[in-house]
Amino acid sequence: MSQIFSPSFGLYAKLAVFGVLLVVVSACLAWRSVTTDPHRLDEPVNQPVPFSHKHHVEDDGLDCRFCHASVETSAFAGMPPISTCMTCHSQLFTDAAMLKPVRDSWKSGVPLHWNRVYQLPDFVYFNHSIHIAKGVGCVSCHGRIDEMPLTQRVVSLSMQWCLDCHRDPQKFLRPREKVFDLGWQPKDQQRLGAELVRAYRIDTGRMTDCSLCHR
Amino acid sequence: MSSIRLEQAAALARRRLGDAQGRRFWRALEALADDPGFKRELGEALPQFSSFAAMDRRRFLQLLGASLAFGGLAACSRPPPEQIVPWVSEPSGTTPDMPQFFATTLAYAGDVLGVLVASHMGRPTKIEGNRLHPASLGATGPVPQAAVLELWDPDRSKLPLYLGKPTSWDAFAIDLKAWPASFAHDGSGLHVLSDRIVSPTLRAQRDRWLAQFPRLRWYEYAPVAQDNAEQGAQLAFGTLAAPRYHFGQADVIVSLEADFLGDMPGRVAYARAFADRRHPTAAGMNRLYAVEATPTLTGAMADHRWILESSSIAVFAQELAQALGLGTGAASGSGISDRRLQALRSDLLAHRGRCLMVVGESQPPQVHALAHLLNEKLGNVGHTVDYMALPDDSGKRYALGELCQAIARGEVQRLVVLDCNIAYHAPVDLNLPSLLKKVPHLVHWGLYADETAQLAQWHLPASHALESWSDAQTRSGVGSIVQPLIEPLYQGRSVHEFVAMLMGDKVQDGRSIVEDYWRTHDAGIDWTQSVRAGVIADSGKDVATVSSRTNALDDWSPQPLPFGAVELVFRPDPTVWDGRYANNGWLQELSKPQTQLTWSNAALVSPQLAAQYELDNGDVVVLEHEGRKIEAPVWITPGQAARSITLHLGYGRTCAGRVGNGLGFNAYRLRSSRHAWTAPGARLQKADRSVQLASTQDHFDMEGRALVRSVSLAELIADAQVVQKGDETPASLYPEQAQGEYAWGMAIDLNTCIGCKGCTIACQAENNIPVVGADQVLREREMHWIRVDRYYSGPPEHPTTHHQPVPCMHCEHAPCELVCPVGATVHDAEGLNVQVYNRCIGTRFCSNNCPYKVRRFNFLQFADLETETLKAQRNPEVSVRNRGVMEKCTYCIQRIENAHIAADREQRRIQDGEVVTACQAACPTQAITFGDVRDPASAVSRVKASSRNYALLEELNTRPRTSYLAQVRNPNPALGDDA
Amino acid sequence: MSAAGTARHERLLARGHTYTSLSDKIGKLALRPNGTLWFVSFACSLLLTLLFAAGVGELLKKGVGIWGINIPVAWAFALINYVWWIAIGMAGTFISAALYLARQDWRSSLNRYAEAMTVFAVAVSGLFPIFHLGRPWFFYWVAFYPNRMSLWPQWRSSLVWDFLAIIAYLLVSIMYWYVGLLPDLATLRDQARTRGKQVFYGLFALGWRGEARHWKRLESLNLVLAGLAVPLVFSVHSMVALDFSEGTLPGWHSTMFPPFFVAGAFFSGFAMALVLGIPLRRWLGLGDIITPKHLDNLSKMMLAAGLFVGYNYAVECFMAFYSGDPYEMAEMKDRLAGPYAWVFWTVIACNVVAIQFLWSPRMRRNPVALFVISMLVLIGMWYERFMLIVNTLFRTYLPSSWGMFYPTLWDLIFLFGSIGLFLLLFTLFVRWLPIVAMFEMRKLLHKLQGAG
Repeated sequence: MSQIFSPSFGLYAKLAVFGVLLVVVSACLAWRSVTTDPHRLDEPVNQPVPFSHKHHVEDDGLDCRFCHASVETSAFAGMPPISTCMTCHSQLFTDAAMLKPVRDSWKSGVPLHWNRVYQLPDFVYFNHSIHIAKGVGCVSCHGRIDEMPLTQRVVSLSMQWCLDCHRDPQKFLRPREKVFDLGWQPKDQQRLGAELVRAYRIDTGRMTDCSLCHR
Repeated sequence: MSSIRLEQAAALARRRLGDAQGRRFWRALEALADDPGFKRELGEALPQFSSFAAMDRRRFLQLLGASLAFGGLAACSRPPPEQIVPWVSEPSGTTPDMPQFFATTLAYAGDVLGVLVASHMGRPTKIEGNRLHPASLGATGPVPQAAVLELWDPDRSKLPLYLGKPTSWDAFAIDLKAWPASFAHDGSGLHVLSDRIVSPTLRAQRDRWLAQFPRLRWYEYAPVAQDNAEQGAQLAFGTLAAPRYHFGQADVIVSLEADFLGDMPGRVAYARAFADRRHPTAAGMNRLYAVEATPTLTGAMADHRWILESSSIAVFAQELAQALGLGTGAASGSGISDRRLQALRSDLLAHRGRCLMVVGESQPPQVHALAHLLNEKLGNVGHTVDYMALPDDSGKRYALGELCQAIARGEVQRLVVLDCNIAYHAPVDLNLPSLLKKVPHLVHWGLYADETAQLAQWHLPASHALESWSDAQTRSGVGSIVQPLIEPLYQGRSVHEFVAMLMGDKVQDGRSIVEDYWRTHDAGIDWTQSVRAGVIADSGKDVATVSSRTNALDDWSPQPLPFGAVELVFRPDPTVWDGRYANNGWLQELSKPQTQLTWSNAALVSPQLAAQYELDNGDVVVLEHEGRKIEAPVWITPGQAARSITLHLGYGRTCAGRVGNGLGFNAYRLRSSRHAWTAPGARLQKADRSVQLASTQDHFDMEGRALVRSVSLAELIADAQVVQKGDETPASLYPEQAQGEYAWGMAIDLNTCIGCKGCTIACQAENNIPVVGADQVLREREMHWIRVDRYYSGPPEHPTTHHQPVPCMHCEHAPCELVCPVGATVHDAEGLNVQVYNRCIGTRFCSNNCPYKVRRFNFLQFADLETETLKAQRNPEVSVRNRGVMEKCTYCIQRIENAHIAADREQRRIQDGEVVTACQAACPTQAITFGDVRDPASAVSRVKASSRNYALLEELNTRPRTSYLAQVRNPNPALGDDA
Repeated sequence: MSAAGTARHERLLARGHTYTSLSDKIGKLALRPNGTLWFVSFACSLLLTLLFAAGVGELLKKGVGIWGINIPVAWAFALINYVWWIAIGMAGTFISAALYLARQDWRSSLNRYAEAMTVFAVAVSGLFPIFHLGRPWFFYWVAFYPNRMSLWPQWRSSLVWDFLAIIAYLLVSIMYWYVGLLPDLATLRDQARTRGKQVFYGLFALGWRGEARHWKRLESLNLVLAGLAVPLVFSVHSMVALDFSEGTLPGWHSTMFPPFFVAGAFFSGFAMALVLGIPLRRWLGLGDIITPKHLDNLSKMMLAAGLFVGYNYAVECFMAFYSGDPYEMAEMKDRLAGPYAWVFWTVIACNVVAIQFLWSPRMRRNPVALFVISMLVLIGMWYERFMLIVNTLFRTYLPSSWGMFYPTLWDLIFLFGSIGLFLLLFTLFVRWLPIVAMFEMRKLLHKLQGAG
């Protein structure tokens, strides 16, 4: 009786099996990458007005707190009301087409809808004020936002990323007065960090407690 | 006011989104958010929403149905891009995400309470007590807590209705022009019916109106009021005076069906004063005798609870009066043994001026009068009780019966009903529903389009107390302002605005009306200060001097309930009261303190009666009185008087709303004007069917386990360690838990806990705990994080009742933590046993392994993620749990964390008392203490140091952080075993 | 020794078989066209399986609330079914692996279908721990793998280890089964007459050509896998036992659970082996291969296991009262006389009383009687798990939280649906694969002839 399979069949069979595995694995990876974050990392997010931190911070030298007023007192850093924009833009660039939505909003009283760039799940309770108070610099999470024409996310915001700092904060802490200084560079971070942990009475014992962020 | 309100906005959103799902839903939602038309409407409709949306999506998109972002779906699609919607121009004094507290006043369930309302960026989310208000002293109790849910109730009346069709206020204004033609110039033909007025401003408005129309008739009716008490005072003193009790001064208290811890006006402050005298020291501890027919919270706290049919209590009162030498005719046959009578007599005489007789509304006026005379004779007036002249003389208000006659005589041209649901709760003999049909023009103003609204041509929506300006006065005379926390969600108007409109006043804005009243009538007060503090300074201080008429009760000889006869006893429902809270899911699901029943009322029968008629729980009986019949399921209630059947009012609603319709049976069908509280000579007959009643507890015997420890004062004094005998924490193989900077713990004093379950509702409001419904409660799936267990000891005919609030024990050696495969329940450094919802996969092993069974599981999608207003009610500081996730008490972790952050920011320690849990805050008697147990000076440490302190199931070595203080009874030694 | 030889010959394999006759007889069962009887059983089991699928759909849509579980009884049918099935899965591997190592000839005619039974039972049981979760789509969090949360599972929980145990057991038993199939698949390939079947069996035969080299490797691999499988048999069910004894509940918190559960597992496993074997023997005319001697041996094993289980019931009861622990005693009182006492007495009737008939040799060789007894044992063992889980949970420490458990329709659907799924797999197996290991039978024949 004739052979059922050609001699080379074995090879094909093996290749087929291997191929199937490959497809499955890559499919999983693709699915993960698509579903983790709302926006891709390092990719500017479209906004109703192409707001440039670079221009406002680096060129005009505005302090973070000028717009993000509640960053030191509340969980939410605070988004400037249109009135804040208008303090300058009622005089400057008053007819710039780019700023039309701002002026319209000011006239009509209909607020602007900015697209969130740094977005945490609803079960995570992040608080800006305490991080500022304990000497975590803006730059640690927001990167050199003063050099960003359009705002983009520069860190993964995964729990792992949070824990990197919560597990040993001394790697990232800086003096309070340097928190808003995006360009500041430490000399000996390890020594400084260790000092600050003591100075700011950071209870490292509970920094990885679930209850710290999840309620 | 702007015509678009949240509901419309949300409805609009829903309409535009259609049935979009998953990714499509989000695209549609963004498209919607970019839609200028919708933006404008939403912006106008809900300024507060655009503001808290400024913080993050948790507030904003949730309101537009972000529900799909949660649960399984989130796992298989990219999380939705959020939007930030900042203010256009920011109002002053707002800090994002920090709740602001505003003082206001709630008139609830026949009482008035000063409260503070937590407002999250303009959304009232939680009610707390107002320390400055004498009726609250910082506590609340169950019903006031539920007011926020009432505010956000999607079934509330939203628009004016004419003949059931939606219309507008303008239409009503036009109709109003035609009114004067329909009645004479002196106002005859115009009739107004309201609930009992507690608002001085409304009284003033009424008086002005009466001055304008002398023949106008203003009726006041509430099914549960203080009529008997007022008539009793009238009888005793000849004037209308209301007693003010000072339980703090009383060493011996005799309560004749007076539930001053449960349903008497002033109950919250009374409970505090009473509890302050329960501290077990030979001198300090008071003694409470309660004589009652049906178990009440007061009876459960009594050192001597003597069970007597309601009809026979009058006889006992007279026997007692006689024994005390008050000559008001001879009486006998009440059924209380002479030994008891004599013991009580000598106890009272031994405490002249330091004892107190209190009588409940359910007793006839003569008994009230008798009590006034006795208090006077025992020299209590001025010490344990004083009187205040009632703010309102009865001349101006007419009774419901007179209204019926007027209607019958055809005199009533126009009847304006101010949120008084007489079509449902009027005495059955008045036959009002059919009479109301005879009224040519019936106008109804109310919070819901209820049974009465169905009969009215016009229905006009009322604004909720948290939406409107008003004022209120407690029965002890304390006045306070009601201020709005939020713009009316719908087109409701306050009673003052409505009445002003009817009177055609120029000023029709609620705030001005109220402010004008106080500025004109009481020039002395500081308006701003009164509003901020939530109480009018030193109001309710004036004392009326009254003198009794000794011949008041000469021609009065009460008769005991004839042998063999059965009486019906009517009571307001412990949770839904007279029916006005029927549509409130929190109150419906709160198990009634005495029966642990939810979602229904029942005919409470004694074990003896049940045995006689072979009744089992849920068996339906036909109750007949004066030829009227209703069918009701029975609930066998230990401690119920043998021959009285208790019927709770407030059920059997037909137009309450989606939640409250068709629950239980309508006890008003048997309630006549003559027998408002006690109806002797009733007949019952077993029907051959039975229903399932949803009770949260099925077993009431402690099975000889020392769960609630109870000792007598004598025992405690004899041996201070009696409670802790044999207790010792077993050794442990496990390492001690990590020691953080704080060690949070709780102590619950079972001696002062009155079992009102205010803690349960407060917790529900604070922690976004869902309502599951009767069918799920029947399946034993209720979600309350802190429940109040009830046990009986002694014979079922006259048992002793024990309450025990059970939250999570936060065990240091927590059995739940050991078995969770994913570490979703773990210990934190400060000793909290935390539940991480987003890590939980729902094996439920933790619940199996929890000896206290305090863990609650979302067997289905219990949290309502569809109804928009309910989302606005939620506390943004607490995650909303979805199906398949275990949850439990967290010691209000969100409050701890906020305190932590505030303190850590300033590098200081958290002060003792800085963290107050929701249950602790609500407790009227401060039975719950919370704080840092490692700080020996903290309040909780001091409480735990007591020799009455014990741990529940200590032998299991779970090392609970929540501990209990044993209950102490103070029976009269003279009575010995005959308690 | 010839007399004894022929006697054994008669018992383990009917006289008159040759190597070819064996291969043909068994091969035909797989290669011949479908019979009506098969279609009927296939249709029935398919129907039940669809019911199961419907149940799963409803479950994923609404949540575990569709079952009757509640607080306090948060575990019920899902876990009962899980333990029941995984227990049934024990015997197969034991028969093939342990008896193989013990050089028991009589296993040869049984091991194939017994192993198939194992694989299917374990597969079915594995579904329940997943579906019983509140959020089944996150079941993989129980496993340890690098993740963006940088979290580990909670190692102190027995559930983590149970997860590993099930996976390991499932994989090994599948491998062991498949490796054993290889030569027979090759045989079928060669017997097959249609191209389709040749390709089908050929693919799965992995190019088996029966060379000495192949046989040698097969033998050693079999030995290794058998060596792996036997400890797993014990480990997996000990883990299942620890899922319960880790709990601090009276009725669960007991060190005797692992041996108790293993014994129970063999008990129900042998019962299922008989329940499946007897009809096969009858309907496929395998009386000459699965002989009364086999039934006799199986029932002896079942009796032994059953007696041990009965002993455990007695010890549990004794310990409860001997311990003096009020909660243990209360739990035992409820078991003996509480609302669920009828469950306990059913268990005793099925698992202790019924098997006493097996002392008589006549009973042990009477297929009908054996079938009935085995059925009773299977039912009894299901109720035993009901007793262990529900009777422990429904009344614990605080009387205020006592409650009853009432199953819903969906509970029943998941129970009978899972039986359907198991039968579906088994009927497919009977139809397409050699239900007796041909090459092992040939070895047996060789051995017997050598002996005779």
